[in-house]
Amino acid sequence: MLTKKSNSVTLNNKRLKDKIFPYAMVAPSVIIFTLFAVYPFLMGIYISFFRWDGLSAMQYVGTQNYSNVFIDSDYWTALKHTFFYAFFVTVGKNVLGFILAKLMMDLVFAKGFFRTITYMPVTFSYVVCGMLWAWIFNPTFGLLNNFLSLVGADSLIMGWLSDPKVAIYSVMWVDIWRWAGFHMVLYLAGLQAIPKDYYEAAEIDGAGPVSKFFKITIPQLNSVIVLNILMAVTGALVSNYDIVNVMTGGGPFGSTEVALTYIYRNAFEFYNLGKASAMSVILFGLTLIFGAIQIFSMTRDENYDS
Amino acid sequence: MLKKKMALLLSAALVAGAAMTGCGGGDSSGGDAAGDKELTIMAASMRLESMIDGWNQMITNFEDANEGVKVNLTMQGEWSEIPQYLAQARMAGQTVDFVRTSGGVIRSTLAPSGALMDITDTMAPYADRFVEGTLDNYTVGGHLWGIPYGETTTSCVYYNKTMFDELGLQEPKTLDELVHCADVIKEKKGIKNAWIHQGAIVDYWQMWFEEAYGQTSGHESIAKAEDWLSGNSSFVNDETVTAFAKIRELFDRGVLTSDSLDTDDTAMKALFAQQQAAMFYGGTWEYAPTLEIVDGAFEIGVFLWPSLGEGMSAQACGAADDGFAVASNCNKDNWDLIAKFLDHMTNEESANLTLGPIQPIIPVIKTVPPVDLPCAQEMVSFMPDTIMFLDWLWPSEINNTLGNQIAGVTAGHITPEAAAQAVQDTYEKLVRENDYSYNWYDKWTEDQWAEVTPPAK
Repeated sequence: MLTKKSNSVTLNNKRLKDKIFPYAMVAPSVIIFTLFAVYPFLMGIYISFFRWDGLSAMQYVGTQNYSNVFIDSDYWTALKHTFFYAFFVTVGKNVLGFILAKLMMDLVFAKGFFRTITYMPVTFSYVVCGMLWAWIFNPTFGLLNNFLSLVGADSLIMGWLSDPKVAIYSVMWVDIWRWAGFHMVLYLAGLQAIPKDYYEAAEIDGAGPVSKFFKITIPQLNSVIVLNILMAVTGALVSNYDIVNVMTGGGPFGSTEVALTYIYRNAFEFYNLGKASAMSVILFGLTLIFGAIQIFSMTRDENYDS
Repeated sequence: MLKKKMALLLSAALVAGAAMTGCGGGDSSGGDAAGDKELTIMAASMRLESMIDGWNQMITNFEDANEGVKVNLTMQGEWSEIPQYLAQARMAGQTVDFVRTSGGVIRSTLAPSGALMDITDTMAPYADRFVEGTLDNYTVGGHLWGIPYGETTTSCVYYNKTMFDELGLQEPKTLDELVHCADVIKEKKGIKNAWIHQGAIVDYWQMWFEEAYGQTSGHESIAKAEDWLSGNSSFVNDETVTAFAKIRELFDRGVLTSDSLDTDDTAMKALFAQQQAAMFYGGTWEYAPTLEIVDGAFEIGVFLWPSLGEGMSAQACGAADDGFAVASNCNKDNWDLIAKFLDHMTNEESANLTLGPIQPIIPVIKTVPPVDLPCAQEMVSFMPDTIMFLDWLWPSEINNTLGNQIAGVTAGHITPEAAAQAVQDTYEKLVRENDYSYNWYDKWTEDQWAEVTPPAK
């Protein structure tokens, strides 16, 4: 009887442990995520209703910070730059990544070497990339202008980071350059997974290269394209602070000011934490809406019909 | 089973670690720790090893003279980041007794926020240790919010004297003479930038505006800026517009090129040292590093900005910089010790230990000897024509707008009038959004004053 009861208790303990085990496993992640993501996010929303410089007492101002943001033309200009940046960087990373992947597929020698050097910039930090290219773009002793001068292309020499009309494209190029290798790897995996039979069958039917590209390659790569674009857009929208800050600091004449640099400036240079939080909440909302539309439109079942 | 136990153990360790990371901190210097007293100094990073050694020795001397006292010196980041670190410390409930940052941050950010103690009475017995007028830079509304603890600076134009002599050029006194010098240098030496500017750093454009505005306002820029910041006048007027226009003229007439918009201090000095540029604008703080990088390759000279127009004359900018202040989240129970430390750090021995390594051209503490360098005396002679940096008066939003607008004006994207209007718009935004008041101390409540007033003895 005692043994039976003891067995029952052991069984109950085991069941309890089995129930607890998965929660215990995810607990560290949940706690860390709550402490470092959820809590600061909620605090950000809370602070957005206050006037606060981080040093003196917080002063409740209701939705005034939001009203201030809505009439702040600098913020909307920075936001416009952000979406402009995100669009062109997404296109650039994917087009270049795809072209590189195709070239790697067709490469007959030193494949490993070229794949490694193409991927290498991904392993560099934004600060390193930014500094490196800032020196290359330097108007007086930068490699680029000196090279252009050497090959007689003086008409192409320009203030890559000092001309307000050009600076944002220079920064976007560095972002594209850094991530193209990463997107190349994804496209390469996708391209290698397409059965060769499809192309052979299409050739027998008389399909040309363009037809094969649009009728076979693109549809077969759809899921890879969705993944690549999602990652590129998200990265370009919310991860451009480092590179802009290192290369131009938002200048010249605010021509490279993106939402994140403007929010940072408001928070930590102007010490207007309430307004900066309101800007962050608005940016979050816009990114959420934009992301939802994108996911909805790009992940419909019909996109995956073979 | 073993794997499961290990996994649980790891999870527990992670949870505990995360909890400690997230919730740790607390009061690290709250005063009595096992009967001992602590003082905490939050300082911006120091540029010279010898300065750090001097500070450590000064602190050791204080600890030796005061048994049971420990002074914690933490150094991190730039001057401009100190308010951010101080805010973090306040949020975490940590005590910070002293902050070392720039005088501009003390005047325009920390004091108006109530983050500093009013040390007027505390420093009164030691006021005569400072060079006359230097404490004025830290006095706002009749109250002293910090002390200068570095050197007094002034601005000037550095030039390659050897090259000027070789080309038969004199120090330019007028804009026309400056343009002539630039033309000759470019033609004879085949270099693109006769004058290179560290325009990638926004603060330096603000200083250019200050130089130009000092001239166009007839040396009344401080008074006029105060009047404007008090809401009694507009920034859009002939003098400010002309100041923007004069800066643009330097570009239009080929003294500078757009290369200066993307050049930082390192690149600027490198170009000067390589004789790819013959002039650059800086201050006394640039002199020693420039001498080092030029390494005797040519002789360096200095001159004040030339006159930008008829009836105008140069006015340099500078201040008694490297500020030191008492934070209002200090341990007020330790006030006697705080006052004792202020006395200690400004005495002859300590000042020489900490400020001697800077090799000041114009010291702020009388007992620190000035360094004897070739152009030092000439720079000292600029002091009567030097006024306090305007960005010590106005908030960083104005500074940022000014820097951006000058880049826009020089690149031809906006007119000088539009640039002045943008600065005025920024001021109005500050008033609307932050209830900005230049005379912030007049608006303070009794509670706010009580928070920053030292305890009675």
